[in-house]
Amino acid sequence: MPIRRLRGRGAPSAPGDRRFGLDSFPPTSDVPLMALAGWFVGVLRCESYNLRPHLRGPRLASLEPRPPERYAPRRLVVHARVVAAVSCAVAGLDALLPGPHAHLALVAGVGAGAVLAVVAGEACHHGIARRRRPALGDDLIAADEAIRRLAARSVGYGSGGLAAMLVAFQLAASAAGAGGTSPMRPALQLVALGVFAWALVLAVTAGAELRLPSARAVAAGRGELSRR
Amino acid sequence: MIVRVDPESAVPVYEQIRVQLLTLIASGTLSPGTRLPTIRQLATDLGLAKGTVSKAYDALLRAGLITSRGRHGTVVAPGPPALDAPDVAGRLREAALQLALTARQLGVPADELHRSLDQALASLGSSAA
Repeated sequence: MPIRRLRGRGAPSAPGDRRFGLDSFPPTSDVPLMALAGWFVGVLRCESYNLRPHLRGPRLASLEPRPPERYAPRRLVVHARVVAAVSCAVAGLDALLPGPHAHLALVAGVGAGAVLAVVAGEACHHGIARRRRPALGDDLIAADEAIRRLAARSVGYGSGGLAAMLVAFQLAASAAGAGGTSPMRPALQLVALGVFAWALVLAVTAGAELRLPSARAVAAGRGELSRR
Repeated sequence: MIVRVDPESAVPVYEQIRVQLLTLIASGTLSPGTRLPTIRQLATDLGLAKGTVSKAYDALLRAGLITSRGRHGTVVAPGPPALDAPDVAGRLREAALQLALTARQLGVPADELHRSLDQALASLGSSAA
């Protein structure tokens, strides 16, 4: 009998099988999730890479602080933290509420992945703000600020999107593990679908953020610097 | 505001940072409440070890010129500037005299000296003002 006919909704995928959708267990077989995770790891790798030049002689530096919140809106950080908290709550509730909990380990593992994505995103965000910047003229500072803003926003949307997508899989796994007769199952599936759609919106926004800043944006940044 | 350090100078780097920050605070250029960069940021930007910048900040903290607000960073402590306008003018005159003397010894004409000074000011950007 073909494996697809044996596999019911929520059943494990065969190794190497590629799936689309929230019933892909384990989620590592899901194409959109793996594409987003791969993209996010690539972005983290790029943004964390710092040239360490061998400096010789006198050096100049500005005394202007560069707080991380300057580069990505606060709401992005809060959103990612809320998603991480929701992920922990889902794992906790899945373990505590009565029921068969067929996928408890999976729910906990995917939740850990969501928290890891948020922590990695925040660490990268702080790294972007701390990157070395020698004393520069206004034009170069404006360009540098625009690049940092672009990178931080992309990482912020990426980590939030990936964490949200993992929470969607967590909810779907929790629903599948709750058993067919559980009254919670349809509600969990519906919420999982909503969270998945939201994660896709964030993922698309993260990709759209990766555009080079327009000359107008750089000029606006330059104006802001001269007013400071 | 810009700081400049020369690791090859006989003066220790932390002392160079301390003296420059002291001058900026004493002259009122860094007014009370002004936030300073984190130790890690300044160390990264200057290509120095964190401990070097930390030593300069610690000395200023002990002198009561800056205060640490934990996660909110380090700020200039309240208090009137120690240098008044005549002091500032005196220091500027002394530095200008040193620059003029160097230019004269190198045989640089006055217009080239002015041009070099303008270029140096421009390279520091408006944040240095």
